[in-house]
Amino acid sequence: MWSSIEQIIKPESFEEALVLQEDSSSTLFAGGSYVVAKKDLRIQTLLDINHLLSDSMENLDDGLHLGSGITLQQMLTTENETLSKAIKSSCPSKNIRNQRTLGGEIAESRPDSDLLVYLNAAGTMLQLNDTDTFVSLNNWPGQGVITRVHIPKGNIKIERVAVLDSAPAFVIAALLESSERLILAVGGKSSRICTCETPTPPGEADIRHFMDEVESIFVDDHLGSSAYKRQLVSNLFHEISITL
Amino acid sequence: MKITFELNGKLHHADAKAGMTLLEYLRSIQLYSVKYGCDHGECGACTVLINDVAINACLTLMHTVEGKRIETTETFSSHEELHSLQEGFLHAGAAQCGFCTPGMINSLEALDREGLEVNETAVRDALNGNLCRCTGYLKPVEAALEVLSKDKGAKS
Amino acid sequence: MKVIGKDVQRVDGRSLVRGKPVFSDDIQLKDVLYVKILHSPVAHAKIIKIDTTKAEALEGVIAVFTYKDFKPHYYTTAGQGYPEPGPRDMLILDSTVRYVGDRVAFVAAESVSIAAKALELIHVEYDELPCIFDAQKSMTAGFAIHPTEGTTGIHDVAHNIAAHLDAELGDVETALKDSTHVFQGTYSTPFVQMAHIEPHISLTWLDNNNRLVIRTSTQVPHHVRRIVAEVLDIPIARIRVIKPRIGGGFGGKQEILNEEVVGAVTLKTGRPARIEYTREEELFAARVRHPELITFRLGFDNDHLLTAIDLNILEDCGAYGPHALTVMSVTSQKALSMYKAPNIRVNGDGVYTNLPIGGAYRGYGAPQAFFPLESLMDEAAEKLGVDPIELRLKNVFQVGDDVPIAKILGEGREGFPMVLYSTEIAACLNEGRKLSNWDKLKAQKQSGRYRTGIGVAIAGQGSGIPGIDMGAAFIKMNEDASFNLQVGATDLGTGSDTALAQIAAEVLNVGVEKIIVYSSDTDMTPFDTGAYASSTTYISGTAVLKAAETCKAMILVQGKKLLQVDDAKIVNMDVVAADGQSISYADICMKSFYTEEQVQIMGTASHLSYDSPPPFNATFAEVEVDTLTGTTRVVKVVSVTDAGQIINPKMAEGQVEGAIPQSLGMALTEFMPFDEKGRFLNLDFNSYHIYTAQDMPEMVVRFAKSHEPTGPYGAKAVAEIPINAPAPAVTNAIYNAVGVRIRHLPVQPEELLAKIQGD
Repeated sequence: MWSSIEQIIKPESFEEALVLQEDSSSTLFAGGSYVVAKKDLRIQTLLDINHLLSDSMENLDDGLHLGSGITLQQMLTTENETLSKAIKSSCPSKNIRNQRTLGGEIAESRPDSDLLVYLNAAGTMLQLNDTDTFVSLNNWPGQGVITRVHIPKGNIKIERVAVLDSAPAFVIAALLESSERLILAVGGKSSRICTCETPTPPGEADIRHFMDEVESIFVDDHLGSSAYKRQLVSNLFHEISITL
Repeated sequence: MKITFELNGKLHHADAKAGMTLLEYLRSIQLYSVKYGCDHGECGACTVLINDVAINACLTLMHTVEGKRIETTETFSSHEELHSLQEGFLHAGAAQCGFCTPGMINSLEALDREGLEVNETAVRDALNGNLCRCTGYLKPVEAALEVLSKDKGAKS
Repeated sequence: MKVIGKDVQRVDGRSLVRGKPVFSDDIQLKDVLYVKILHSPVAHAKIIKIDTTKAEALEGVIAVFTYKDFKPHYYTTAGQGYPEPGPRDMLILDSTVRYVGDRVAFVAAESVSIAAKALELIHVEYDELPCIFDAQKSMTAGFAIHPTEGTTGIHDVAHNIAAHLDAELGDVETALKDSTHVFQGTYSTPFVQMAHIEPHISLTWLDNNNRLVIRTSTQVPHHVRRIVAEVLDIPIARIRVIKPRIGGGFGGKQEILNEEVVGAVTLKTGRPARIEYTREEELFAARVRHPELITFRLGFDNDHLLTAIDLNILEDCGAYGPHALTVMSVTSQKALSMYKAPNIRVNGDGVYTNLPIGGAYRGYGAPQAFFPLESLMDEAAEKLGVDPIELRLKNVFQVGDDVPIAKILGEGREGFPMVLYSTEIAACLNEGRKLSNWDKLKAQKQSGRYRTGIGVAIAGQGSGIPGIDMGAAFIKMNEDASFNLQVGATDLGTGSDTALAQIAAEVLNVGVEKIIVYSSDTDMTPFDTGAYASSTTYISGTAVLKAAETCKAMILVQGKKLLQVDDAKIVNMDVVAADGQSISYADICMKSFYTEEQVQIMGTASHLSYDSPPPFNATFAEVEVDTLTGTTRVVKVVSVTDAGQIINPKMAEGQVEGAIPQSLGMALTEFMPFDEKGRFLNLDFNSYHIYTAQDMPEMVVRFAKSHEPTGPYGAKAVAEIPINAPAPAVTNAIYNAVGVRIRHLPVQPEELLAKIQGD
């Protein structure tokens, strides 16, 4: 029992949802796999926006266009094997993938989500509140309702380090390499995902700055020291063919 | 809060508090095959079928099941006949303590209903959200492959 | 044999696959109260003030209990026989808390949510005391975690030693000095958890005759009855304990964890009460495997035969001492009954720390013995230039050998002499060697990012506790030649109901479907110590065998009476006289109930053994080490077990298949870290990683052909033995892959990577 919940509201529009969300005792509700697991007792009102979201997926020339209401399991029909593997690694339980939405996964901002690290490396763009503007995932401040997601076409390489395939990774490194730009993203058991976008070929200063940032997001814990994790990031990037 | 849905083939009217999960509700009406193992969606002992899809009942709030079809393991057998997956589990010795068994059966039934090719990878993926500490998953996987590959043959 | 050794379908299987309401929580109780425990947020403190007024005033709260509500009575929660071999150092509620998770108070309310809210309203003031989080500091900490007054059975209160043991045969120091080769190593095994999917759950109510009924997920119903009677100060006669189906235990439920709490609520309020641990509570406030720090010394002569084995154990008991002495005894006994050596010595101290409480976990000290022993044997083999399998085969006990340590070290008491009547460890090793592709994989030269390696380890266990574990059985006949078999023995998913039915069926010449099993109800079934120490098949099984034989003898007597002959014998399900007349089982019983020579045909028997024949296991593990990250993946595990005559092959395989990932978890994936305040950090299945379906390596499980003369139909135990060898097999495989010796579990990827790169 999520004993603090008093009411469930179905906002008629995103504008309404945003206004209602200003109350700190209310929260957005889509798939629910995160919020219902947590059962935060400060929440009294759920803003169920499922009826406002789309679960469509189109594979166009410039990449994937998805409604944020699509479930992780539904996304697996894409032929993109790297993306599918990242989805499965971020959520090894098929039963949860049947429930968890793409929008919910992005909003949760879990640094050890392989999918999220992938999306960061891919230069993913988010449409908020069903308006015409798209904002880069890397720059999204966390406000607003994600309504559509655009994952640009690109060759992403991603590697993870964990004690088991089904265990959350403690280091994830992802890389997009194209003729114009390079995007690096690092996450895992860290305080956040850090990303870096540079033109190709990458400048040394940019990379050094990025690796300093990488060191700062990891702490010493039972899975290893932050120095070890930084070394893993180096090792992984080297493996997926970029020397840092 | 009043919710109406189809439960194990029959129309069902529920009256539940907004924060109640499907796991609690189903156990309160004595559908005890749906188990409490962790309440966080990690163990899958509460797996049920919602519109043919395997979902953790502990992560499902009651209002979300309005108008949907819910199935629990109770609906898969009668006093006279067992579901093929249940027969398969019995035959293979795939249930030891049996606590995770209903959840596994439900996840596998959902896999079967997808109508896709059933191989070991697909079976292990379908069971990946059902934690088991007794069997090492070996006999449940063997049972699933034995039954679901056969089923495919029968259906086509 | 008709049913022994056959894959008989579980007698309870149908109810399990159908999802029938057979578990503890699958009932509705009218007016039930929900009970929740307030756990200490600090690791060591005196409660100087505890105010429950606000909690009691909350609507829906019916009762709140603190230490002030109980007369102090020290007991142990360990599910063991009387007199319990360990410290009695626990109170139902204490005014001192000794680990983060310790009981401070408990609340009974109309709903779980109300009970949870009430916990927050209990106001407690703690006077924090210094803490010990490192077992190596316990004895010299300068303060005692437990008081001297009131507690009993603590070896040395002032130095925080809950239990101590030492034993020596021969003269180890001299033998080591004189040995051509001496090898030494210090190893450790970590905190890990049983992680049964069904949490601890207990329900109590007063029946129509005002007796306290306890329906609980337990491995030890008779110990629950005795200990709850003692703690709540009511006669044993007033309690009935019922064990329904259990969702896994693995030793975690060989404990009186919360039964006395709900019992207290029911006795005070007159209402049914229910307590179920959350998964989070399981992971910090239940029981864990005792971590052990062990130093082994092995002496070898020129022929590579062991001259001496010396081990020193430091066992971390946590805040209290259930199972403290006995787990350490098993570590010692098993470590010293695998290989022959004329000089053996053990010294062990089980110490208190302000950390979670060590309990009973499958293997019960043996995993802690075999990880170091089999690692050091591997090292010794390499340094001696001997094949590791050959070195083991040379030194293991053989059939007919006397195993001297058994006599001096029982489980908490002096033991009994032991002669090895059966061992097929050689066959296990030889078969495993073939199935695992040992020779080819061991010799492989490796390069590249992923390196494969193979390792081997062997282990023994016991079959019940000699001179202590007793089980009994009642069997009665029905008119259709079916039989009710009532046993105290506890099926926790192990399939014991089925195995025992098979034994009865075999004796009586009937099909297993003719045996109706009812188990583990203290009103209806005779005594059994419970499901632990791998005692069920060997001890309870022999009780069933004897009871069935008594019953069969009575069938024959009745048959003769009814045929009016002196000379007859049983052939299948008939009594056949020498002159050719016959009468069927069913006829005999029908007449015996209703018309002639009326009597209830039945049999009763108890069994105790002074033997505890060890099952043996050889495990081969193939691993893949990622030299870029330091992580290890297990590719394949081959496990060959000598468990004597296997009663039910599929069930026995199931035991092995489930034990393997538990051992792999201890080696590689299950972490229980805690912070500087003693708070455990991995409190859900997301962070405490147990193997999922996708993670599993390939498993090849076999049983050696074997026969134990003292066991029912030649059987030994199978429940715990397979959990001992996989962990050392894995670390030996890591050595084969990358040349790094792991001495402390779980394997730390950072440490492994550093050592790989250090080469």
